[in-house]
Amino acid sequence: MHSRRVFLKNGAFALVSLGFAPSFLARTAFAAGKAARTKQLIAIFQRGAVDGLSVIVPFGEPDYYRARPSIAIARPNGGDGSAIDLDGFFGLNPRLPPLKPFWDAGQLAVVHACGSPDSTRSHFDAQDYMETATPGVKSTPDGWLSRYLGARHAEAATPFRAVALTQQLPRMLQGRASALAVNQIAQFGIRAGRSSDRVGASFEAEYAAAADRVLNGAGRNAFDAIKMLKIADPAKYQPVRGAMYPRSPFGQALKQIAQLTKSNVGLEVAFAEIGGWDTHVNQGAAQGQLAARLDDFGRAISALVVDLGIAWPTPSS
Amino acid sequence: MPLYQCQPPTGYQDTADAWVNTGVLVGRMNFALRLAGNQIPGVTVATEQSIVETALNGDVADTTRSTIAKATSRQQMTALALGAPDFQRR
Repeated sequence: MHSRRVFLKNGAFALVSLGFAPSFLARTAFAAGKAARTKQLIAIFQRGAVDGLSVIVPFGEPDYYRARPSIAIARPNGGDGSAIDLDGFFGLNPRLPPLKPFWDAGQLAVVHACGSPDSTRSHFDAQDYMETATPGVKSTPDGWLSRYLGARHAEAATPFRAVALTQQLPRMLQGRASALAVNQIAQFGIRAGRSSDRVGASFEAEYAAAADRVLNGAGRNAFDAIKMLKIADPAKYQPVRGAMYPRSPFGQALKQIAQLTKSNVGLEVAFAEIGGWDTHVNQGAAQGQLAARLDDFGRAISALVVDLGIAWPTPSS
Repeated sequence: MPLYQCQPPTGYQDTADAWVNTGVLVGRMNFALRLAGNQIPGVTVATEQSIVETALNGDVADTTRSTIAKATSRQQMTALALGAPDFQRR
């Protein structure tokens, strides 16, 4: 499986595409945790296995063009659809210009040609291995992000310590550490029309009195979360500095991550996913299914970084 | 977790905490509200005063019983019974 990871250096913000190196990630995040402000980790999962050689193109390698007569990305300066030179050997896919400024500023790092060492041809297994971070071992009950949360001390954990902007909690976040899956933060809450507040208070009373420890705890968390969101009102945080999120589900997920971040609800780990990378014969080169996914991917990430206004340190080397 | 489609070969978890989390719980309460409000397509729920007795078999905490008693409509009553902690785990 071709896979590859892209990190924006500095630890305040790490981007993960399909790849396997949680220990590396954990080190980055732990090192970052020494700083005064709460560090945040945003994990992005590209479901379906992206073809790394079309994303970060080894245009300096003649074998690349020999092996890919029809889907290779042209060498830089070859007009429309040619790679964007990074270091004279590797180049970005032509649909990823939004990420180029981060590379130029020394804020984006690429870890190429690494991935799960397990050679399974099952996409489901491969994906599970990425999420549990135990390639070859199917019985791992929890995901690596959940274990990371467990290993990292929480100063004052809120219900928003770990949030997945997905319908269901991804395997990556399943485990002992509590995590929240919310597809649309604006719609999170008890929905009973005009009676919402009263019905919510009634449910809250029921759960506060629940003898069952698990239900009591989850109930308390749920109503804490609903109240926090109501006060923080993340929807009032509109993108700044001209950040333009794509209207795609992925773009909207990243926009909501920014809103949660700005509303100071205690977000430490955020998760978003983007599918459609299992392109097969429809992959294309500078145009096609992969190009369309990369366009969405690059623009959304760029918008998030700009919107959050992350203060990047000057590269030391 | 989809019914009958557990992916890990170890099967579904038999511990309580694997079956409840914050988001899921909110989802269940909202489902109870929609169900009781007949907003689930193809399903009609007969909301009745005796919901505590029929759905919960009378086996409920005092707080649940008194909370349900304060509901202002039968639909709310039904929702507060089906979404109650007493109904999540039998």
